[in-house]
Amino acid sequence: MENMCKEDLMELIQSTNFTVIELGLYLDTHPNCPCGLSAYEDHSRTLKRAVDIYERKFGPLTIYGVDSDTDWTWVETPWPWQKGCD
Amino acid sequence: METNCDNTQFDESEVVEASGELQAESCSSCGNGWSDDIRSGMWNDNGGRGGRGRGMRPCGDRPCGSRPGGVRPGSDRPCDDRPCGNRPGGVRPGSRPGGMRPCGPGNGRPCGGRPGMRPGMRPGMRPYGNGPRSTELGDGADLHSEWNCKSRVINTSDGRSMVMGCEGQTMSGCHMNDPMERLGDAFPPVMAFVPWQQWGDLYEPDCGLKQGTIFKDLNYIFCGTRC
Repeated sequence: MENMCKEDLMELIQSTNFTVIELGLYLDTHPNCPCGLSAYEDHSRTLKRAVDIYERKFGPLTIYGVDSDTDWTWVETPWPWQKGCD
Repeated sequence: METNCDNTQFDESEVVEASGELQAESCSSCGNGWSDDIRSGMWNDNGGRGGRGRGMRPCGDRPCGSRPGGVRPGSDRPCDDRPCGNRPGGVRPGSRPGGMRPCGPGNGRPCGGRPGMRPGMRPGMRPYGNGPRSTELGDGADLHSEWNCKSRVINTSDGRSMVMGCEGQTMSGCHMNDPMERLGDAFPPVMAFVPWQQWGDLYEPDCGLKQGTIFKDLNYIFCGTRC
């Protein structure tokens, strides 16, 4: 995962995020399902790791990922209308 | 004006009330009668078609005007001022219970007088309106104020809306005495039993994102979108 390019990492984040949401919906109706809980834990952990790597290498994905220790990194990466999402 | 299977023309004078039931003369062509359903296209308030509700006996079965006051609720016409027992034997199966007359001008109760869901309406069905009839309607139209009381709009599975039961507007036979029957196999009345989802195989995240679900058990081919 560390060696993935920006596009591949973004695809991983998007698909894993979708999986986490799906599992969350399943767990809404099956809150005690051990398989669901286990899968949620796995994919949620993968998502967090992928987001951490992406934001560390390519900039924040959300406002909550801004590294504000030295400067405001939120505006350093391209905006969506600058093809920043491509 | 006679009732007719082909053109479903009716005259108000032929529609009589009997103990809270709307009746019409039988069809002059086939004699099947009960064309009031064709006229109204309404369902009863008991939760669907048919059923024998309160006060279903025709006047001929009992002394006319035996209802206290001789006037049924919402009616401005007592039972006594019309011919009684004009339908021998006449309790029809599946007739409407008392007080089920179509709403509208001259019918004793205002249109759209019961906003929201009516008893017997299914989720997704819309209430009767009381405006002009049409076959064109977009989602979100205010049926109560714009549509005829005898019309009903049904949302089809492909997102379109159909207007049903528009006072014989498109009906052509006595057997079509209920607008829902004209939908045939497309909208059979059902009771739905949905199994509880069980844990099963999952797609990989990238495949799940493309399929729209990560659960293999839920990945159906939905006609109308992918067929």
